[in-house]
Amino acid sequence: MKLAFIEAMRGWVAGDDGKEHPIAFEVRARQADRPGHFALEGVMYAPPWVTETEARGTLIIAPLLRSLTYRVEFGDLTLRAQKHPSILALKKTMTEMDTTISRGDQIIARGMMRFDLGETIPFVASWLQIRTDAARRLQAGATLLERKRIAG
Amino acid sequence: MNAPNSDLAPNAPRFSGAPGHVESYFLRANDPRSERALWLKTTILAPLNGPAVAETWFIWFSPSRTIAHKDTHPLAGTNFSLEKVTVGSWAFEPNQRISGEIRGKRFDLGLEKVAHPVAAPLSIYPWRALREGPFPKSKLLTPAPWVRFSGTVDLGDETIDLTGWEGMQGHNWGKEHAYEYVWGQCLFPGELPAMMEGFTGRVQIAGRTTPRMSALVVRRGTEEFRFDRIFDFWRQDAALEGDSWNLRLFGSGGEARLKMDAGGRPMVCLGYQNPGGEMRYCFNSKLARVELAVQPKTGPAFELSSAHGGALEFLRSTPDPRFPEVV
Repeated sequence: MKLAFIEAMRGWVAGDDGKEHPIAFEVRARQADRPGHFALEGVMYAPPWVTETEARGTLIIAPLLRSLTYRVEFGDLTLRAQKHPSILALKKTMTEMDTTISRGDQIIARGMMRFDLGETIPFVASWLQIRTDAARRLQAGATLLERKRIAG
Repeated sequence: MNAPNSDLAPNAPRFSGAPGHVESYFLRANDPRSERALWLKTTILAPLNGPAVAETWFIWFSPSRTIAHKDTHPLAGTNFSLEKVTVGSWAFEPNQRISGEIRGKRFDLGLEKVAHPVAAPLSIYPWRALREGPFPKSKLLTPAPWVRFSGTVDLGDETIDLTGWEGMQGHNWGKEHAYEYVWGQCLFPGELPAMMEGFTGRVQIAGRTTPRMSALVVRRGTEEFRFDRIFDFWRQDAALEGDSWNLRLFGSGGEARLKMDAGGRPMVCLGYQNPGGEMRYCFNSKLARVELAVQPKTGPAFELSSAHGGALEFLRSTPDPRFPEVV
């Protein structure tokens, strides 16, 4: 059986003008065929670029490199985020990740995203395929996007 | 929405007739299309020594001119009731009408409370005890956070139609004005209407001034995001610089970052007397720029902004030489 879980990350990024913007994504990660690879599918919130839009990407978990790398594409933008877990600073390194948003090759914003430890239980439950608030939220977001697509 | 929980109606007068009380009803109207705003306020001031008076204030804000008038009336002959407030020529019927005249400036405005959850009565204070108990000494309620105006204002040489202007109506009262505060409010019309109201303040307890305490409420559509852990000093950061206010708050609603700036915008200095006699100075603009970003704990992150729709007030204990006239 392939692994799957739901994850939400939130944070703030700043563009060249220094202005900070909130950013968040909620995605379902499904184990892909390649070892350590997960396919991501969900919703991205990144005002002022997009209020809410479909997000797709990959998560690569590389234990030997001690890294988790997210690449999430939404609209014409790409979010890249990476964390390097360390037992020396487990909480910080497991919950925070440096983040960039780029359009093509150009980085347009940088910042930090965090995993809210208050979401730990729903996160763990999502691995067990238990229907949680996180799953319902993700489903609601997907439904909303679908409705918007239909409405044009 | 978290409506004020009280046995009293939000606009019910709190003045018992005893000395040591100050109470105000105020309205603001902003032109959604240009940098123009109107501020009307009437106040009961019951000093600890001396007769109580009622004050009326008329402030017109526009880039070309700012008009600020205040009149003082003996309290006898005025009427402050839930249905109607009359002071001299002023008559205010909540959610219906306000009219009056001051120094040749006349106004007769219809008030329509917007029928939307965003416009429900609002209290920034998280607990009833803060609204009705002895602490803090100044109380704040917003009976009508979103009001639509109609009618005209006659500035003497120019009559302005306020039809379609939008704003709010507030009500505050207490034993005295806060030692220091910043208060801001803004409406964000659009497909998903939104509003924000917040404050940063310091009060004095036993002669000592507290750290800055802040709270913010954001409403968007049918959702309300509260950042009102007033006494959680570790999760709030307020910066006051010149005529700008920067606020970062964590709360049950998630995280919010607010920037309000009245730099270069029309502003007046109003003199607010405390019942004890000391003066407070309110630096008041109704045309501030507003940028608000909210990162909810769950759901969509969002940003709101207004180019000139922000009500922004700084109450300080000292005057500012930039404002030689204190109204």
